[in-house]
Amino acid sequence: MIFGPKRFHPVYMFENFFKDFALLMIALGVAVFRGDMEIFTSNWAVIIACVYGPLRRLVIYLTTSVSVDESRLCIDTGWLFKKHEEVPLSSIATVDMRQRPLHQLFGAYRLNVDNAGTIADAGNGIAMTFGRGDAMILKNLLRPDTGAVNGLNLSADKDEAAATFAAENVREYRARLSELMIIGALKSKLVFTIQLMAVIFGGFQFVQQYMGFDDKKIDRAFDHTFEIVGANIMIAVALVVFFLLAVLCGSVGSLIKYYDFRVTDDGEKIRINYGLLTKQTFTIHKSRISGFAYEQSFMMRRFHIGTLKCYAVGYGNKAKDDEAEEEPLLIPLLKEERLLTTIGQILPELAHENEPERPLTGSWYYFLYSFSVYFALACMAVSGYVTMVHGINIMIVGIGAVVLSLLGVAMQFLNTSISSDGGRVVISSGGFSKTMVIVKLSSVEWATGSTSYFKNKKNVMHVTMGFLAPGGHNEATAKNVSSRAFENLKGLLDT
Amino acid sequence: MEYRKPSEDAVRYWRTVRLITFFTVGAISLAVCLLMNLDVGATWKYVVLTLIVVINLYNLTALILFPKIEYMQWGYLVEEDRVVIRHGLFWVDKDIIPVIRIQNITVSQGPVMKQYGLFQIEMALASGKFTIEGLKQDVADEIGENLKNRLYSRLAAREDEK
Repeated sequence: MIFGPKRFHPVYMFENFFKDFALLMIALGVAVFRGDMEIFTSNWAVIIACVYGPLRRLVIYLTTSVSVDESRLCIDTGWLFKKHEEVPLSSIATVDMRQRPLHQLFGAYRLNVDNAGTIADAGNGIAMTFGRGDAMILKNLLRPDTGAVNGLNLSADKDEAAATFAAENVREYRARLSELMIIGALKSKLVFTIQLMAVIFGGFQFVQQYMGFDDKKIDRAFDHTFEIVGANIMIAVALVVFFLLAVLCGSVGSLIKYYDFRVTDDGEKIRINYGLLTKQTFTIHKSRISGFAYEQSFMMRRFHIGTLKCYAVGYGNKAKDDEAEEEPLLIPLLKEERLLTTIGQILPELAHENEPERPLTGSWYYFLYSFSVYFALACMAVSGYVTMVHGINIMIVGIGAVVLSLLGVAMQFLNTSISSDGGRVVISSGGFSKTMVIVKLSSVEWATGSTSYFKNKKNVMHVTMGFLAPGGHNEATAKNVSSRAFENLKGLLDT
Repeated sequence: MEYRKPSEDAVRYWRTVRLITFFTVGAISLAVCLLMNLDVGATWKYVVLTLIVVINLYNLTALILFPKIEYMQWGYLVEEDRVVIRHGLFWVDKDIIPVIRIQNITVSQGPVMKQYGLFQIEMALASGKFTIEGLKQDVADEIGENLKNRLYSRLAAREDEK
């Protein structure tokens, strides 16, 4: 053995504090708040449910040991049910180190290790927590082997064209604070606005209940405002207020998450560091990068900017026990005109333009068969029903939803394209938010052409390709393009 | 390009699976109807009832019609360097899988499949999984062996190229 067997750092027991200790804290909080500890102690089921999370962590901590020899990383865990996990060092694709506030406090690091077996299953990476000294030793021992197969993708490993820079030619990109705030502000806000509304309404009800506000007074105030301004204006104002709040929260959140975002490129590999509370470091060998995604929200497109992400096994993966999935961010804000140059600096073979294939002119109406259009029509039906039956005029909400969905469809038609050649495949898709996926042909694993009877007669189909990337990011679809595009891609895969 | 079809017993297998689904969903629907206390009228109850009727009618149609249509659409092709699978119902998918990308091949049989002597072949790639269903054991073994040999010979050829 050249390392271990060693137990994790004790911080491991508390690193998912909110997940493991939440029930215990809530139960104790309620018992203390009511001044009656019997609520907690009289019921065995409650005690078991509350202490299960912390006990599970303790058992894992006490029974897990990690060791490394010349060829393998071994993890032994379990008490009643023992488990022995062996990972050949040659198969390790990435090792990244993270530090949450608790880790920083106790000088510990969380190491995430990914190999071929963890690519397809998101949330299946290996996670370990060690003190600084052990973490550094392990990181060096587990350093991704550049000769290792990339997810058993032999073809991709052959491709070493990227490593053309001299080692002294180190480039560094550092994101400005304003850029980090802007990406938070300009990112798509629909889901976040809905989450924010749920949190605010939930919080409002809690405060109202526990602070003793008078329900009737609040209801009267709402009714009064409702009568003066009308339902449509109230809904519009509420949406604008929530949207602005979402923009503000998004900016602050992005600033905290990506604080001090740096990308260092030494020609062979790139290193990404960021984080204010949770510090993260990723090292990716360039030969393991499958491709890039250039994402633009509606607002970003107005300013001709976008976010560049990179697809590489281990970056953007969700490791075991991780609470949130990381986004494989590469450049937070990048001007459209700089896109090809930037990609060219990292993987020169992907930095060229070719003529994209767009959806056929006569196939635009196929984009109407989408969930957003059906949902908008259902909204209009409900708003019509409420307006006619209950006399509350919210018809504008339904009409607005339909108009927005039709605009989205028109933009999907304009944004969709696919192009492929001997070196790369590019798929653009999306409505208000546009995503352009650029993938090395050698990293494309499969292709699917999907069509219905009537579409087939018109030579129209959805083309989907699967490529080497962390689970959840490993597919891209071009909707309603010519079947020629699929035949072209199929032909390239054969070679 | 002549596609090979799954065994005709696959129709009976799909029908049995759909029959199980039909009875399971039917039982849940019945339980929901009983819990809703249908004799007390409320608008939302009519909405739920309509949904239940629509879901069960769909399942009944799926039980009677879909297995035959599915069989008509199903086809697979194991070529020298790739596997092509055509499947679907009203939407037909055609999957192209280069043999070199296959990480492992699993031949498996579930309890319902066992009744009809059927097997399925699952091909796992680093970025997804593809399945050929409704195969008799000899065909499944032949395809599995065939794919394994092709994969090894392609890998050996690549190594030689290096």
